[in-house]
Amino acid sequence: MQKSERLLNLLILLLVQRRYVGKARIRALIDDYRDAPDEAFERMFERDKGELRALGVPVETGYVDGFFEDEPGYRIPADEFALPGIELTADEAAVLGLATRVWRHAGLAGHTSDALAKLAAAGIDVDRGRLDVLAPEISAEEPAFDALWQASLDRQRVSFDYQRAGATAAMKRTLEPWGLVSTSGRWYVVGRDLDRDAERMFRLSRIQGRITKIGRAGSYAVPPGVDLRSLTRRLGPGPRTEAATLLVRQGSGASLRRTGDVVEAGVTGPDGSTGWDRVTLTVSSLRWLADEVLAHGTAVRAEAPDALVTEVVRRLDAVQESA
Amino acid sequence: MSSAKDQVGRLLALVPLIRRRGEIHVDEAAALLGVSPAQLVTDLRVLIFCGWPGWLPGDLIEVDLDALEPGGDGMIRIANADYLAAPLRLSRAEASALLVALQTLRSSAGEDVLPSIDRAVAKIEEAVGARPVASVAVRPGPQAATRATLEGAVRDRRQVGLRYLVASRDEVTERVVDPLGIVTDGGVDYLDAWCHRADDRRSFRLDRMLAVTVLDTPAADHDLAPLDLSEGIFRPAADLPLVTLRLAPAARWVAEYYPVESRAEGSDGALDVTLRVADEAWLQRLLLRLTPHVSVLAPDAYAAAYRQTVAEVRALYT
Repeated sequence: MQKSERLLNLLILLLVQRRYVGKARIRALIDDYRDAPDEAFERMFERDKGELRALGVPVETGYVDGFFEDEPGYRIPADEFALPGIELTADEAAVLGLATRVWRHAGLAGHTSDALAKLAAAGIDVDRGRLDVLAPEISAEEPAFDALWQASLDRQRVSFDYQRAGATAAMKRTLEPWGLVSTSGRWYVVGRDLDRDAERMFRLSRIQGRITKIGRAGSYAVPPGVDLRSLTRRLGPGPRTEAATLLVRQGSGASLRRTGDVVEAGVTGPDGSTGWDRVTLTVSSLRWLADEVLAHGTAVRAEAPDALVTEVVRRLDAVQESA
Repeated sequence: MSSAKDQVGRLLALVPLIRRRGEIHVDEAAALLGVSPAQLVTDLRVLIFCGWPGWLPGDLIEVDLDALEPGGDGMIRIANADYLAAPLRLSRAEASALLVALQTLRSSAGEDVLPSIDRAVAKIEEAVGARPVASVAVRPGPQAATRATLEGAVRDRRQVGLRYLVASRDEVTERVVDPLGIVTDGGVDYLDAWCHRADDRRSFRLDRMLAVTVLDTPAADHDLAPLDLSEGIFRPAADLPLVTLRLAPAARWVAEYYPVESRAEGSDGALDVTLRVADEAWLQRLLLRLTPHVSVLAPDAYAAAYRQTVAEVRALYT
């Protein structure tokens, strides 16, 4: 008997029964189980249930006799097994066709295609060539990605060694992962840090070594109201609210000129020459702007606000002091 | 795709599809499921041993295998599979992968497509009763358009004119390139191209392109192997000079962004790294950006140049 045959027969057996089917009955009805020694049967049965669940089959556990709660039994509720009716218009279905081009990650590209195959079986006609829109690509190259994605799906606690940005040594962290968020191509895992009992976010590239799974799957719930989409937005650059003025040497500072506007050309600069432009810009962080101003060396001078000028000067002076 | 689980997954999609249509050609079904027709026939041979518990002849699923033999009409027909009439619901992993992909599409979609995406997301979220376990923010805006233009040029094998900002030298350059493809490394998109100005292969960051023009001239063939990104896009040549930097905690990120030859933990959370320097202007810019969280341990000439520049920049504020 092929394994896929066994899986499918187990599925049909549990699906066509309204009540929980006892383990002994399942064993009697399926050849491989019947022929296997006790221990091998248990192992095989556990693995098979796991594989069906991984396919999305809702294998429920209960008791054959609800009153005595003695013999464990299993069933697959037909209404939970079936994909609920879903009607998509042609343009909505065309969008699904594009979705298959997004993931550049073997596992997730496969999951997307499998999802589409099921939707096609439900009668949704996915035309993959209908829309000529460029699909953005998502990659997930961090070694920790697969384990954390699975743990987030399974609601399973994990621990890992994490090297914080400013810290010297990696520290062990224990987390209830809620999900993964990505911004600017970098992945973060978000969840409840059990040691600190607080919501925390960890950058995957700073996780060292393996992810260790702790305890059982389904051992916590994601708090209601956790919204990964808004978290992702929060991680990205904030709204541009900080206005600043810089003097930029003519012929220099193309990246700053691109972000801002030249309001006055040919002004006198700090060197007394008139080869400077006054550029204003609005940025989301003055700290980021201080980095940019410094990186441009003698080609850019911060002019306003005072907080920016003070920050740049403070950082320059700190070099003299340490020398 | 030959594991038992994958095979069962395909069959669970295939049976409702055939039942819905009555019959379906093996080539079409194989294309829909992303496998070869031969694999699909192998899958179908499993079905004839499956069915209602008891498995008397009339209880098993029937497949018209003759039609799939050479000389048959190639149509898949099945009977006795009523209990598999409905397709299986999406697993959490599938729903999540699909929903994240759909949401990501929003970043590059035009106004005309956005409503379709949002309606598709809403309907699928409702049908599967799940929210995705992942979320992606993709940089919106001009880069998507740049990318579309460049992909068109790669496809049509046309030369491209670039106005390109060389950030390390703070210099805007004009060049003509033969585009080879777009690659992504560390979340940054690059055009892999043959640059006629350098007469060599170069990578150009999309976010530093100030203007992109597709030219009428066809791009030349260069017969180059795809870029090897296994060690990142920057791979400094082994004969370049080495510099040793002491990075205070706030500057430790440098060791994650640039390939370092060696690293050693110092005191107070500092990290000592050595890197190869292709371009001194690039190094000076990096050092200034990191001020004051960096010091040059060696060679002395670089350290002196850095201190000198800091003094000159400080003089702008007197």
